[in-house]
Amino acid sequence: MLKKKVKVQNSAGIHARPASLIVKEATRFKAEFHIHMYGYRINGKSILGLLTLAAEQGAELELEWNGPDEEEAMDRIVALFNNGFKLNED
Amino acid sequence: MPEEQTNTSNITLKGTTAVTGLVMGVARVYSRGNININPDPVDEARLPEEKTKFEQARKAVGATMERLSDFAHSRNDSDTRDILNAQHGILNDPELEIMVHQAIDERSVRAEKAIYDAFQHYIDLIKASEKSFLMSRLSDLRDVRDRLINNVQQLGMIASFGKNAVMVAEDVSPIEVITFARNGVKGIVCTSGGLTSHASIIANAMGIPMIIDAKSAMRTLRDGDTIILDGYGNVVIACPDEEMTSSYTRMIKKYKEEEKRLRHVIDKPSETACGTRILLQANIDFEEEVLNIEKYRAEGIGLLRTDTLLMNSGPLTMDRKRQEEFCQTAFSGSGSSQVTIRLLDVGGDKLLNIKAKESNPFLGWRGVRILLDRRELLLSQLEAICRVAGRYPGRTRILVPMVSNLEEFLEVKRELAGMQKNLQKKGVPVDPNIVLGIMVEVPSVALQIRLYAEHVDFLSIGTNDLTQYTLAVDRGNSLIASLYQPMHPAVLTFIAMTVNAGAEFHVPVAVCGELASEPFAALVLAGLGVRELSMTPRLIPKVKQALRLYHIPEMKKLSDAAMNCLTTDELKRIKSDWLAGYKEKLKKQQAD
Repeated sequence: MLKKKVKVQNSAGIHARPASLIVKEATRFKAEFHIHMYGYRINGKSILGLLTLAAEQGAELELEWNGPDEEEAMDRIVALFNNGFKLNED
Repeated sequence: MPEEQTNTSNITLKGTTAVTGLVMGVARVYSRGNININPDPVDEARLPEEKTKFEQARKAVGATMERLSDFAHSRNDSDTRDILNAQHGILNDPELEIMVHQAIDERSVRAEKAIYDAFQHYIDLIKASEKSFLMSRLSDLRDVRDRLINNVQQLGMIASFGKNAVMVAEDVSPIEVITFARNGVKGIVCTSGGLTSHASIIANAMGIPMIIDAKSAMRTLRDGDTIILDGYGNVVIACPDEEMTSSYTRMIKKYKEEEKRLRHVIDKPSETACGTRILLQANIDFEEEVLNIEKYRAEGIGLLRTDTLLMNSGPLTMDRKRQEEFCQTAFSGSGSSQVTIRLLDVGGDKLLNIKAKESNPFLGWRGVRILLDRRELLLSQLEAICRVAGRYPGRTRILVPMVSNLEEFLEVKRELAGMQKNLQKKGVPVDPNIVLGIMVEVPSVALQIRLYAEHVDFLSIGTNDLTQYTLAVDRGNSLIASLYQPMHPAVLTFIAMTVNAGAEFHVPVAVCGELASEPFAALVLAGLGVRELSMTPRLIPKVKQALRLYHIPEMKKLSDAAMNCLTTDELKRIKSDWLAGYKEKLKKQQAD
């Protein structure tokens, strides 16, 4: 299992587009992906779950992966947070 | 209270017949959009069914969204695309799925209730966050929810209508017509719609009588009313009294007898009174129709529409295996005759269900234009066709739709040659004699037809589009439906030019539009020199019956007269004069 703390960087927070980017990226990997925020835990592959976090700019999240490809999954998703959910489609 | 009875019986609505026929049944008012959730639990035994409904609805809504998203992409509309992508994510949300299944299993509720509650759970949570940046997203959530519930309810609704149903609706989509057909619906009444919309073409193919433009139908007709759909008289009659019922029962019997009479023509050769052969082929949309080829003795397929395959496989991606199966069915169902496969002709109103998104879809991204932009789609179609063609050598014709310049044809030709070579290298048997032709439907092509005739192997005239492009009349627009004249002298002139170019360059010319299936029009076309007509198979006997009673010079006279008409009334007169004579001929023939 891998864990990593991140901060929401972009000014608009995790609204629909960032949420669907996160889900899209997360579902590429086998590893389970969960997000903790203020004691609340959601499935990171669920866009509805992500929206209910209502995470604004500056919000601190703890990300957690569990599975065979967890390292690569972590790299990709953390990068997504760090660049403020800019489009980085292949 | 006899007076009250006269007020509520024989309610007559005028409309326009899109598919002829006469049926009596029970009105079923079909509407989309109003959501009423039934909260009652259902029997344990029905729970798996509710889950299946949810899955089917999810697939259907997903397909629509992908189509919309694709479309938004093609127009560089990234905002819409983002919203649709997010909605697609919501639709396939794994937690949502779990929640819906749990609700069905644990509370024995219907799919619609389970979906509603699951969405409500999330809507409440988001609302409770009081974050304004999420509030505007709630409408996207509700939109997905409503689409799902609508879909679930429709599936249940159509299945519960029973065999006697006559659907009454605002408007129906091609997909809905197919669902109706599969559920044994007897007839369709719409308040709007144009004559040659794809929905009516499909209703015609499936043999479901249909009346459109019955403007007050949704207000006047009530669910459960006995209803007569009279496609010959262009009327719908609700709550017929005893007299009306018995008179229509007699008429229905009469038409059934006429049908029987036509059956005698089925086995007669397809030739004119003077012995000129006219090839009568089938237009085929669905696998289900393939049986009609043999039934009505179509001599092969003049138009195999592949567009319908998209309906099951989702937007602009086509499973090659599915395409192969479809072609395989078409070949094996048509004896040793020719099979003309038209490449994807999506766009416009066809199946994309996104009318009016392109401001001018009929002049937009469709037919070969899409295929050349989405090369993988073209290649997958060509591969499927070539693979099947190899198993039935000498029978394949490929038809390229919506060609508006020669390069488009040449490019497809190049891709076809490349595909054949590739397959051969892989050891797949191919047919080196596949012929490649174009649809003549764009006026510029008709004007320069000699240029094309020099390069193509055959020409097929699509009269529906040729008419709308030549006359600048949208064929789906009911406001100008009377201007849609497929026998306008300008259209006939284009057809004559095409026939002449075909003769000059020894290239066969076929007509595969609706026009070919009308006896009078078929005679005019034969008079112009057309020798191949393709139509819905069940209309073949009627056309054959007419062709067999006239000599080519008589047909030539008709076509000359039609070409020289100055007004619509003049054409109508020629047609009604002909019809009177035709009826005489039929009577005489029967007496003999």
